[in-house]
Formats: sequence, C-alpha cells, structure tokens
Amino acid sequence: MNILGVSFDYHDAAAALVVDGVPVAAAPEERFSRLKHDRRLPARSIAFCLERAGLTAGDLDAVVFYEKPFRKLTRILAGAVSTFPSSGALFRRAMGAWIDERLWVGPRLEAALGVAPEKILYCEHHLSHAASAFLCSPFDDAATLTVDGVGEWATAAIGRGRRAGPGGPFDLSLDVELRYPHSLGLLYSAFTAYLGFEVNEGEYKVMGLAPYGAPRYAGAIRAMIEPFADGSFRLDLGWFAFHRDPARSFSKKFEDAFGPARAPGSGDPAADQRLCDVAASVQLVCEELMLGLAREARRRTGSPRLCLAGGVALNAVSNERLLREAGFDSVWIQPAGGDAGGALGAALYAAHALEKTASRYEMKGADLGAEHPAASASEALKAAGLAFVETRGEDDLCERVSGLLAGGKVVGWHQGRSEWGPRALGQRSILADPRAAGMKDTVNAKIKFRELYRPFAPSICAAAAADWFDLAGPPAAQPYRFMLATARTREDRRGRLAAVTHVDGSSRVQAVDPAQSPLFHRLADAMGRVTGVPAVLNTSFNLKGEPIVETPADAVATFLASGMDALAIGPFLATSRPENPSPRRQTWESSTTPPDAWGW
Amino acid sequence: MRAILADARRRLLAGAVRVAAALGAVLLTVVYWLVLGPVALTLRVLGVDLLGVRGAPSTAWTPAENPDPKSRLEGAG
Repeated sequence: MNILGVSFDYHDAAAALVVDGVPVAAAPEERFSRLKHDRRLPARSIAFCLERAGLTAGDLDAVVFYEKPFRKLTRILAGAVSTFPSSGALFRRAMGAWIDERLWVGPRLEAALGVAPEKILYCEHHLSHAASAFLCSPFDDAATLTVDGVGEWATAAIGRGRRAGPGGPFDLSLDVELRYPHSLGLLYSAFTAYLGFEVNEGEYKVMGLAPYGAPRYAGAIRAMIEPFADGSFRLDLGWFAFHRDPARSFSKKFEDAFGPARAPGSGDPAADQRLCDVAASVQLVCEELMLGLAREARRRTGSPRLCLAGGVALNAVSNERLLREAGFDSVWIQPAGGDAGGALGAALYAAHALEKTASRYEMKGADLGAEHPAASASEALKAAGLAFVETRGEDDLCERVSGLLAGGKVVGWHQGRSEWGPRALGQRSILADPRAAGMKDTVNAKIKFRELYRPFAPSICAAAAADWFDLAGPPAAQPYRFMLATARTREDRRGRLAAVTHVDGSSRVQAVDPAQSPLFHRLADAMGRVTGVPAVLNTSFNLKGEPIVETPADAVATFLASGMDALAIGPFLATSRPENPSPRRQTWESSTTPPDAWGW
Repeated sequence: MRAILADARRRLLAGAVRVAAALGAVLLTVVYWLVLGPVALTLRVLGVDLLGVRGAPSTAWTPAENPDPKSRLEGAG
C-alpha cells in the first residue's frame, strides 16, 4: 500500500510517503518553499515524495492527516467559552483561521491531490507522534511517551506499542493523556516568549541560554504547577494568558514575579544574568517534569524500553537526564520530534492499521529527503561564477576538506539526501574545526549571523565518542546518532574540543555511524588523522532565521551570503569566492511570529 | 489599457479582502457576545469545568480512548 502522511496548518508542514510499511521519502515543506516553519499545505513536499517513489497521486491508497481537526476545534471553543469575556480577540483570530482553511482539511487535500474523499483519513495528534517513534524504533514492545504544546486536547500521552512483523499482531494504543491547558510544552513556550524569542523556534535558544544562569527561580516556577505523585501536573492558569489572549502567553502576575519580559530582538540575553537565571530555572523544571512523566511511563507499562516523540522530545538536555535517570534500558527518540514528524507517524500508523503485511521498519538513518544530481551542483556553482574542482572520489574530498578545516576554514557541506528532522547530521551542514574556542564566535558572528552565546555541536566517529564524551548510553546508538541528547565532554579533553563544549561542559554530540553515514564518518576520521581529534564542528547549513538549504542552488546562495571559506557539493569543491558574486542570494521570506503559536 | 485594468482589478480585490476581513471580525464579535457569552455564563452558573482546571485531587491523567485501529482513522473529529 502507498500511504501519504501530511501535517500542516500550524507549523512545520511536512509530507511523508510510506510504501508497504517502509518510509521512502519525507520532507518538511520549508526546505522547498524557503519559508521557515512553513505551515501551508505541503504541495512541494508531496510532489517530492511522489516523484521519489515514482508514483502519482492516483497511486495512493490513503492520505492521512496527522490530527483530528474537528476535535481540536472543540478544544478551542471550550477554551474561548471558559475564559469568556477575556477571550474575544483569541476567538476572532482563531475562528478567522478556521473558517478560512482549517475546517476544510479534507476538501483541500482532495483538491490538491485529486483523491477520493474516502481515501482521506485522520490520525490523532499524539498517536501520530507515538507511531513516529515506536514504528521507527528497533523495539517490538515498548512504552511510548509523547510530550508537546498541544494537539487536539492532549498535551502529553503515555502508551504502549507491540508488533510482531508482517502478518503478526500490531497494537499501538494510548493509555492516559494530560489535557490542555496543562502542558509542559506551553509552559516552556511561555518562558520562550518571555525571554524574547519566537515561540516554536526559540526554545533551542532558551536551552542554550540556560547554562549561563543559576536556577534561582525554579521554586517560583514550581509554584505555577500542581504536581502529582504519578508524574502528572496541572498548571495554575493565573500565571498564563495563552488560553485567552492571541498575542500574549504570560500574565501580569508572571512579570511581577520574574521582572519585565525581554523585548524580542533587544540586546544580548546572555549579558543579563536575570534572564539567564530564568532560562536555567525553566530548563531545570522542564527536566524534572519530563523525568516524572517518563518514570510514570515506566511504571504503567513495565517496559524497560521507551519511544519518545513530540516537540519537547527535542530538548537534548532533558533527554540526557531521561537517559540516565528515568530507569529505562533503551530509549529511542524520533529525530523529527515536532509536528513535521507527525506526518511520518500518521502514515506509518495507517500502514500498520490498514495492512496486515506491512513491513517492519527501523529508522537507522535520517536521510529521507531529496537528493540532487552532480550536474545540478556544477550548474549552480558555474551560475554563481565560483571556481571549483572535481575531487577524485570520497577519500580525496575528505582529505581536502579536513585539511581546510584543520587550517581554520569554515566549509559548507552538501551531500546526499537531506535529513529528516531539524538537526543537520552531515548532509546539509556547515563544518569547522572543533578545537579552538574562537571558532564558535567566528561561526556564530561571521557565518550564521546569530547570537554569540549559542553553542555548536560536535560530530564524532562513533567508535571514539565514548573516549571524548561521558555518554549516557552506547555510543553508536540512537539518540546520539541523531544528535538528540547532550553529554559531558570529558574534562581532560575539553581543551581540544573548546569550540563545541558549552560553558557548563556539555555538548550535543552526534556519534557518526560508519554504516549509516559512511562519507561523513570518513570526513570525521580524516580530521582525526590531521588533528588528532576525530570530530568536526557541525551546524545546520542555513543562516539565522532561514530553513536549512535543500538544493545545490540554495547552498551556493547561502555560501555567497555568508562568510564561509569553501563549499563542498557532491564531488565538487569551491575554495574561493568571486570578488563580485553574481547572483547575490535572494532574500528568502523569513517567518514572522506564527498566528498559531499557542495551538489554536 | 490592459495593465490599467489589471491594476484596478488588483486594487478592487485588495479592497474587497479588507472589507470582508472587517465584516468577518464584526460578525465574529457578534457571535462571541450573543452566542458564546450566554453559553459561557450558563456553564459557569452550572459549575461546568470544560478545561479541567478543577480536576481529580490526586492526578491530572485522563484515560485515553482506544477504538480499533481502522475505525480510529475515520473522521476528522
């Protein structure tokens, strides 16, 4: 069966195509549209998925939307009724969006794809997340935990998955759920907004800011929450406004307790100790709540294996504590933990629910995106007037690039199929030498034009990872394979990994597996031979506020707009820049604060 | 001439969108006060807690419903 999963209308629209139970293609719409967090119906992603599989829309057996829109509408109406008369503005804006488009998910898909109405199915939001983790994991039996802002009503859910191969029994069910407005994701997002960052985008910035502070406000944040012994909790809504105000997530009481909110874009937050302390505090409370939820999943299911998904599952610091302290033997985390991942989960769930013979699948690599031929790379380089050489195979490419990196150069790296999920894992990356501390500031300021306090991640040969980092699990295993958890850089090695070790000694490690990422592993290995450190500084191939590059033309445009020194696309390597590059990079649309930041 | 007409059409459409948005906002405001308002006040008098602000004293977990996998995928609600 050919099943297309789609997510759209909120943020991070995406499409994923599953054939006989196996994902053959998946990509977020933003990679093609160049609009960060693009939420529109993912027509380009759908077209890519179908083209990759050699199918047309007429070949699809089902199209599955990643949530139940009408159920979501009941929650929004219940929220507006419950907060009357202070929810007027929220009601108007939410209903405007619903009447315009969100009520018509089915008809819009029918029109876009030309499929019959009976082929359009709907999978609950947290079930989509749970399926995206369990049905990509290596486990036949596992607990599932999904945590995000909000789906229809649920904000977190504990469940259990069981499967026994083609023809065997399949069961993925949700046991219990936390319901809106009691949400860990919305709590974290309220602080994201308070700290002046964009909701659904700036949560990483809060996580990166936290190590600069001390959690002296943790007690005040815990006072907003009524916790229970079973890991569940309720939020005291007196501190928040997201349930009644379309433009504000926290109340006056909140600002009275923590001081004035930071205006978006104003000053360096790392220079304000109060803001750092608030970030440290909310991060600590987030970790505590996640541990409580995970321990409850362990207790309820009795399973020593956990599958984790949802936006909060992208909090790498929290994940490290979960790996160490929640009591599970094995943890598998969906690399596209946010709503984009829901498209894949919805398609996988439908594949197993509708098709007894669906194949067993394990996601070992995240390269489900588009691949571009070498010809398009050379064309893009020529069109930009860049001089380049064609390397003599992968060894030559890696030798040349590792030499550049060791010499302090910053290299754009565009290879193979693009990654599924928000992390660059060696297909669309900007690379640098991880050794010198100054490289962090160079890449932040001159290459990506982003905040100086933000850390970078190392990608290291899996076999060597445990020598350099105190990993909370086997080095080659997920989640370190997908850069989903932090680890302490070993103290005696910190001086040699200064550019990728954060101020608290932590690092968001990618353990590069030679079987799954042979070229990238070869590069890290070559760095080891040149520098003695088998790792590279790896950050996503984009500039601040832009989606990760997709095509060679995107890569060239970003290279020209930044301060990178060299660009490797496929076998081609450009090591110089034209004095008057033509064409200059077009300015891609950047996202403004999304109207659906609070899930309405 | 064609360019002038196209420009006029664009302006007309933009104006129509603005008028529709304003009318929509007015209509939704009326619905909010005349429909949601009475419903909200009635529920408040009856003590109905739609958001689960006052839930069980010992847990915030709610049991999830698990229909069979196929029927679970049917319907948008």
